[in-house]
Amino acid sequence: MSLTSLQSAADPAPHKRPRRKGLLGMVIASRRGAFGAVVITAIALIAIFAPCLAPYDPTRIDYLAIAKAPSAAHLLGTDEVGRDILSRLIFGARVSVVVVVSSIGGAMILGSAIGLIAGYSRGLLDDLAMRIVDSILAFPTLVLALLVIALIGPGLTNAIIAMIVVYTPSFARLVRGETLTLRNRDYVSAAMMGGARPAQILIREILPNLAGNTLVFASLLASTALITESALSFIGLGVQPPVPSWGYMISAGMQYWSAWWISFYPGLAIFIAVLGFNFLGDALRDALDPTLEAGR
Amino acid sequence: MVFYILRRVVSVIALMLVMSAVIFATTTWLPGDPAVSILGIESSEQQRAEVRELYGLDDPIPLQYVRWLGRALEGDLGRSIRTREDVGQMLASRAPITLQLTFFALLVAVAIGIPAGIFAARMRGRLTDDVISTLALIASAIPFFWLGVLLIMIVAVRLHWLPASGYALFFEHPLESLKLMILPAIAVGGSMAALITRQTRSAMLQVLNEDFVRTGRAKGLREDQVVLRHALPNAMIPVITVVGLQAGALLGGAIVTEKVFAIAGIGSMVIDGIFNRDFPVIQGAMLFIVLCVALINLAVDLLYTVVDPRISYR
Repeated sequence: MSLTSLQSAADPAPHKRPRRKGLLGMVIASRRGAFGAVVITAIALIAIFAPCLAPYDPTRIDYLAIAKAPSAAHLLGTDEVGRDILSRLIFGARVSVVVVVSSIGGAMILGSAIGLIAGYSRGLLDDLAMRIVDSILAFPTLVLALLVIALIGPGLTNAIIAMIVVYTPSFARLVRGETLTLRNRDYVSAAMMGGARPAQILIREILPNLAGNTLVFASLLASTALITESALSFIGLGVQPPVPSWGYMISAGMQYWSAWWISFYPGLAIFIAVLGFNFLGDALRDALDPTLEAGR
Repeated sequence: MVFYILRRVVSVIALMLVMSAVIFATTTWLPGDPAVSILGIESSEQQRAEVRELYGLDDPIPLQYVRWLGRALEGDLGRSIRTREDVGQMLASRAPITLQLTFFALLVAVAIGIPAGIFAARMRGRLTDDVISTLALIASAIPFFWLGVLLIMIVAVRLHWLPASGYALFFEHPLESLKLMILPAIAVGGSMAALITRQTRSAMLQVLNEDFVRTGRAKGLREDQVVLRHALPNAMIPVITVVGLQAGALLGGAIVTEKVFAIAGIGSMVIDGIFNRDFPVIQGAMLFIVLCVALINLAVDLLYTVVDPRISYR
């Protein structure tokens, strides 16, 4: 009997489970899932094509148009130094996408590596890793991010590093838990008996089977990451001006209370993006959750 | 029970030791000569050497840490490099404001979340339930600092109902303090109210299906007695867990929200400290925040075992 046939006979790997609809189909079948998918796709496209979409240069200062209300020339008005808010929102999407993708992506890669190794090796290494992970997890996201920034200083790159530190333990916990279960599956034992090296087993057998849940978790964390980044930029410790970031734009409007549009639109952008990530994450979780699928 | 509490207290002390070492080590390794930060760029090499001698900056880092920790335990956290203010005194004057805001935010979250959740559960499937659930979903996605800005724009600037900024301690000026705390507390507690609403609703729905609730109704109890006296206490356990898990997050929210409402608490101390590279201030404020979080976690663990007698103390 070849290794592959033994594997499928003993324990069919869950990632090969046939689905009636594709993942995307299941996500957009629900209204909220569809909303989330549209919002996130739109933000990604806006971020990519920002230079073509923005009507003005987002950093161009115009002292003749300071804090002008929304009009035909400036659809969402201008800010405290006469910059076009719509253009800054469009370019701000870039910052948000970069920060969310790199921080969550970085945390996912690092956390998965820690979780895989800890869960597979068990024993002392696992104990030690999980002790550290648990003590980091005891800290609220924002407090921990502030702590890291306090140690390494403000700025875009440092904000991303801080958020990788903040989110890595969550991924490590999740992946380690799944690895503990998966490593006892028959197809993993079969691969071990077949003489596969631990690295091969982790990458070829275990990783593909926990990738789905990890991605769902990442999409659920993305909204928290966006709020954390905005909060850091809002208090001036994240993205530094003149780079347009939504969080910083909100704080800029606080010196001009009568010009409500300066703070209002960037906050609305964060709100819609967070709602989009939440809905998309929920829909993905429902679509990938085998217990829900069986109940349908 | 006593053993369990002791074990948790020991683990908090261990965590504090580790965190204090991390905070001390990284702030000490920050690039730049602290002697230059204290004296300014114009200072002579001889003056710098004197300052290094005075503060023991040339000693090995582990020795500096032990000395720093010893002084910190006596309440001496050093002086701000920038303002020469005593860090311990800065904390003593600012911490009550931050903790007060955190507490009021928690109050807002619980006062809105629990009744809304109960109401939604009782109206299950009706329009009211839909409205509450949708509002909770929306509220949980609103960035809290933006909510603060919106509240100032609408309630303070437009309607002139409440002041836009400032602070007062509740024990000194109760009425004034309440007026000033309402908006920031809503901003910090809003999304947690949404979370508690959702948690209470689902916990209540589960409990309302239990046998003892049916028995209560069957023996002729009024509906409010069934809900408030019999169902609610049983639904509270998962809610308390959520409150406990989120209490630390409220502290983080309060730190950021202080900036919106111009409140001089721990938040501005941390933020200014980071910008000025004022390491005694950063160390002191961070140590305080870490201690608060550790104590909140400890309190939640203990409260949890008190609320649910089924949990054993291992």
